[in-house]
Amino acid sequence: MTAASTPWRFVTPIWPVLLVLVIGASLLSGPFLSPANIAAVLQQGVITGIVALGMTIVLIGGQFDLSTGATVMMAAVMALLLNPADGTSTALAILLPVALGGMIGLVNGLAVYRAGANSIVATIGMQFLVIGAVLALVSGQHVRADNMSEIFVSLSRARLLGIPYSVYIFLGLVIALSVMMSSTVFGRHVYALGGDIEAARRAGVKVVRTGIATYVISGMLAALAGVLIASLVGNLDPTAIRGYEFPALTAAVLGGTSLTGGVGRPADTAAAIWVIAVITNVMTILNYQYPVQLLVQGVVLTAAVAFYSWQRARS
Amino acid sequence: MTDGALVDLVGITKQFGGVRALKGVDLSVRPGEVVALVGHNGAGKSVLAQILSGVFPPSSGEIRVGGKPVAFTSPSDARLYAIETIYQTLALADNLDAPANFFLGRELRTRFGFLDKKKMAEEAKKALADLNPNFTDIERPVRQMSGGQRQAIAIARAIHFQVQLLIMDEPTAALGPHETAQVGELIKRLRAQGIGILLISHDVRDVLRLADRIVVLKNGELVGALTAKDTNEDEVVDMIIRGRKLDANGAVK
Repeated sequence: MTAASTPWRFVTPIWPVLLVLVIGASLLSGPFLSPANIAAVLQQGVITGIVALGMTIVLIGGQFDLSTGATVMMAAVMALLLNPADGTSTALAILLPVALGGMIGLVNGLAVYRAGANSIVATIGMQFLVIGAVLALVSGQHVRADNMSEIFVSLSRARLLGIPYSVYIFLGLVIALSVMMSSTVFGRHVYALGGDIEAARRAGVKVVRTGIATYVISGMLAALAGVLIASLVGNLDPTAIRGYEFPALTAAVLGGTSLTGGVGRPADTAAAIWVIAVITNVMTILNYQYPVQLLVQGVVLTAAVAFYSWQRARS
Repeated sequence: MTDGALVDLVGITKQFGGVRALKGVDLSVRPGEVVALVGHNGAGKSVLAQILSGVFPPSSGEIRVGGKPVAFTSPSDARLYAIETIYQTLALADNLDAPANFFLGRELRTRFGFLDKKKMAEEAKKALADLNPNFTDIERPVRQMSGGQRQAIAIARAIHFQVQLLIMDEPTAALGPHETAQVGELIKRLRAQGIGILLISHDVRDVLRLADRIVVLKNGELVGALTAKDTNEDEVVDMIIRGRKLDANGAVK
């Protein structure tokens, strides 16, 4: 491991931590390594993980996206309202929420990169706007879809080799976004934005366009996470699925994404998601209650952030 | 406008809120000519340079390239006209390595559309070694590099691609004597290749040694133009401090 390499090559300690945790977990608890439990661990982090991937990309560009929790809710509600019963409605229930998530991202991006709004304030404003619109639309009622098509349900429930489809979707996204960030001009420009946006502009990077794209990606991913929730539960209380943005932000930071931009990798965020999932899973198996789990997560996060700050100060 | 000029600035003004940073400046640079822009801090040197680099537009006045009026909305527009700039701040992304900064905004791609990291590393390494043979460990974030190495990256990327006019804003401010001498050699080499150079500096001795013409700015106004070989340090310093207006014929009073 070395701090002396460029962002896309930077090896964060999150992978060794994950390895140690997995080994420790299997020693502490026999059932941990059972295929069913491994599948459960992998599935547990998928929703937050997908949101966190988008958050990671926005953060690398040097901004925040706190509207994603609201976008998750919007997409879940919208997918159910579109009642995915047959082929057409299933396609619409997947595509329309994702498109709307992209639109929300577009507006965020315009506010931040075109108008120069502070991204924390702008995206919290967007969060209120989206939550308000959704709750007004459903009049605060539960939403449910009856006769959901097999394809729609299978998104989250069907399994291949014992592992839910949604896990493969997440893994596919991790790989695709990793390649995008490390090996495309767009990814390189996002890192440059987070490193020094004025330097990037002077070097000829289309900073507004690139920055807006990071928000569009984040919005689409958050919406996809919402669609997966809809597929999993079939009916929901909209107010019960708020607040995905902070666990996502936590995972991104735990994975070594810098809150000041320019540093981070999608795969490291995924590793952080699995670290949290393993901790939660083992503690549940060992019968520790939620407050203790939260406490441990808090300690892990704080320690990780302190470590990263120390490591960066040293380099 | 000057015949055969690479670039003409005509009546350039720049207003920042209530502050008039430039008040109608005319300036031309010909191919193979080194024009030095001198003056106190706040005289408007960097503002003029940044207008010519496309960082921001002038409030009024005209930029002409090869005699034709142009409008730059961004630094990439200026680059299209082969105007390259080495900024005083260097304008490097600190989190990226040398090849990434070198090719930032004009990355090389493989035929599949992905970044051609290998080729970019090789080309950047070669270009940087031309400037500084000891500069080999280039694939680490530039924040970890010395002032001279960072300067080398900024210079190398400005001259590596097609360049006709090179704007150098205080290129030696952060450098030691040896590196400053190297930059001087580089300027002579580029001039011999027919590249026009606008050199911004507060080091009058440097300017006298390197420039063909010396243009003096004071409080946003052009107060004098001198031919380097016909003047001396005292005269230039005197003009920077007191400022003397040009008469109607463009000659110094």
